[in-house]
Amino acid sequence: MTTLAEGPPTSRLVELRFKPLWLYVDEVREFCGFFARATFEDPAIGDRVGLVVHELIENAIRYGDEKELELRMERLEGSVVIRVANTTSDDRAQRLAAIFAEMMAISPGDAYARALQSAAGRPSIESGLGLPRVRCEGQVDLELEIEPGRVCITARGAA
Amino acid sequence: MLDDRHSTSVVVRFSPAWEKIEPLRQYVVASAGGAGEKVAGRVGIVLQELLENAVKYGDAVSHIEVDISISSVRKQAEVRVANRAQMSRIALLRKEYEAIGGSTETANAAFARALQRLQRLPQGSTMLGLARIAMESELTLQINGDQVIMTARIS
Amino acid sequence: MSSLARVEPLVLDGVEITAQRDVVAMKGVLSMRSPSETVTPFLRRVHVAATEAGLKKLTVDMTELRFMNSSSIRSLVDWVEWIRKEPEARQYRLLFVTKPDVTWQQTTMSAIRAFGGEHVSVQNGV
Repeated sequence: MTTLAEGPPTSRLVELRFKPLWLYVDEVREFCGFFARATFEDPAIGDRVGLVVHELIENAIRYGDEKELELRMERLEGSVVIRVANTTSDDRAQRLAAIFAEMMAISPGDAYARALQSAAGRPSIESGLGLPRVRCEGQVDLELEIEPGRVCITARGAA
Repeated sequence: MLDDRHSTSVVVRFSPAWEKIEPLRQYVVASAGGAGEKVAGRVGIVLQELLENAVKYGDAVSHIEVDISISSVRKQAEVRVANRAQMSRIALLRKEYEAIGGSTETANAAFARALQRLQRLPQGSTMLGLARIAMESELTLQINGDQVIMTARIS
Repeated sequence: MSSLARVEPLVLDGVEITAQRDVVAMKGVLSMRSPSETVTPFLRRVHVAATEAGLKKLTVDMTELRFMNSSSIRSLVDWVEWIRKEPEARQYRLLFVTKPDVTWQQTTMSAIRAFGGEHVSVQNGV
């Protein structure tokens, strides 16, 4: 199993590996948000981290294959970096890649506004809002890595 | 560390602060639920005591590293806490650890002695922590200079 | 009794949403997996009651809402769309009251305000 990309050990704050179950989402959000708030001594960063973590984990649970989920939160050069990796089918990974590319082609604010406009026309089980929200409200740059059977989203924002 | 497909792991690195203990304990206990209530309960106690020790007696500047793995299949958990301790505490820690010994029987006796000793200790000091941890887990202690690693195996 | 009072509160999964007079209050955490099955129908009942009562403004108090996931934001989007689709005489404005020191409330409701145009305003509570 390929793990999340290694970083200097001294920057790592939190690393979690767990079965992707819905019942963990709120706990992980609260925990990571609290730790970010305490580490960076800034409630706004705690809120942003909580939001980013929550939405990325929800996506991993909804669209993953329910086997494995890893989260890492790091402090790197004045930024907070959150990485969420999960196992998934290659088909879903490719769909994610297409959605991601389309979103990244425009600014975070425009992508979020566009997603809100088109949300009403989508099937009720999908909002299509998660990633645009992470990017815009979380104020993070997003990166997607895909390898066979696995996806990893990295969110990096100023801290 | 435990590593099976049904394991949960939590690795956290943080600067020592009392207010970080409870949220971490709560999160870990919730994560340990898959291993059963008994194991989750013990994990909570052990983690609380290890972290309190690390915060109270560790050097105030260096980070505390926590590495926990929980197996829902084997109903086991391993909790490791590493930090740099105040040099003045290390000899005392070693002595307390040796007093506890390696068996539950010895740990129970050590805890009973520690309770009796309470009245003679300064306010705020209990020295119960290690004994309590040893009652709930198999505890090992490694000391390298000023670095202290406590590993507790729970089942 | 105002028509909103006839809307039974929604209480489940860590969240409580009540409707009284011209105020909808949300408390807890809105992070369920499928709010379209619970929250959306609840808001629809509120919307129907509001239009029947001829309300011109409905306050949504979010000051005790600790978090809202993007699936729940979709429920708010649906709500705004229902208002837009009403004949002008039956339309009303949503006033979201937020907590100023909760970052996600500021950013999320700012986006909803931009989406909702004249049908949405946002105000910080005390």
